[in-house]
Amino acid sequence: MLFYKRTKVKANLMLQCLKNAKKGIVLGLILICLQSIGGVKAQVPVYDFNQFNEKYLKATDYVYFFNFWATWCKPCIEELPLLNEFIQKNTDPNLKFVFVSLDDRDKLNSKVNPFVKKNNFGAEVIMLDDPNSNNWIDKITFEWTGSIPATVLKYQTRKFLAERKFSSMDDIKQFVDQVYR
Amino acid sequence: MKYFLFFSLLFCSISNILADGVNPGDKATDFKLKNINGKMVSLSDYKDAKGFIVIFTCNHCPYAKMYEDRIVDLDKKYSSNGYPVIAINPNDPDVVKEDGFKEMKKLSKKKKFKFPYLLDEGQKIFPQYGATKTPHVYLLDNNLIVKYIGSIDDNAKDATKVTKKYIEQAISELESGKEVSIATTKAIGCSIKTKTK
Repeated sequence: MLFYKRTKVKANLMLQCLKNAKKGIVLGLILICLQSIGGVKAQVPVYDFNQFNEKYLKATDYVYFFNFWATWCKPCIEELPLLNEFIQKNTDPNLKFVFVSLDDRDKLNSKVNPFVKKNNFGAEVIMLDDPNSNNWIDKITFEWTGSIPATVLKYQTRKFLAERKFSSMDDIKQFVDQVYR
Repeated sequence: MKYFLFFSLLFCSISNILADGVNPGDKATDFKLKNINGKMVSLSDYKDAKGFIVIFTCNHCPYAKMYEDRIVDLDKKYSSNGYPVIAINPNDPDVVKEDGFKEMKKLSKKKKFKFPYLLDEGQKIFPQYGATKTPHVYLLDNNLIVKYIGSIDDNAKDATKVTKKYIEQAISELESGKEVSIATTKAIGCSIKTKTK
């Protein structure tokens, strides 16, 4: 009699465990889904040159600061903290910063999104995916020879290029000030 | 009107003198740089060359890596026809260890380079060409006159999607006695690494 009771209690306990486990799995799945939805916000949008042109180069509202970079570009990564510091300290609401990744489209999810998530980019990050760079480099600015890091400051039709890594806050400030003269 | 023309020409020539590097039509500089086999190499060593495919390239840059096989193919196709590839690493190995001499030898062995892979020691040559990135290609004729500057073709990432082979087209035009129709092109590449930058 006692034996039967014990096994029944054991069976009930096991059933309870399974029920809890089922709840746990469901809850876990919901949490994973929520996390990945949250992660979608960190996803970098990808544009080809025509889209980039329509959305950014044709815009006349702001002074745009386009920083061309890539996850594999060491000097680009080195100037990132400096750029972010500048962005943080910037008080001009008319200045809009856009980080333009020239990484390989195939590396968007494996390298770029995790990199952006991990590092504190103080501004919008997008990817320009267009293999025909001979076509669009000049359209961004004909002074650019194509090396990165490179930064293009643009207000309507006026453009300024820094085809180099910035060395200091002052360096960035002097570069940006050009557009206000 | 006369003065305007005079001053604009003066301005143009001054800016050309101040601008670093060569443009198509200019004469490029020869050099004496160390090859991975320890021997010094100059363009003047090639008595029978009809021209040169000078390529500033390196070991570490992803864009340079994408073109490695195509550089080998260019040399295979053209060196016996008078246009050898001359590869030059313009980077400072102190700044990028991966671009050191030892690593250059390794790469050459791995990819079976049959052409010189020289180190621009002291980094005096690349500024005279005006190279700003890797890879950056200069096609010269046998008088070292620049005929083309830019990239090898129009698709770095995918060799199968190439629609324009700029170097091949330029050489073909030169061989037919024509002017090079596309004398400059642009492409994304890695900046050249120096201590001051």
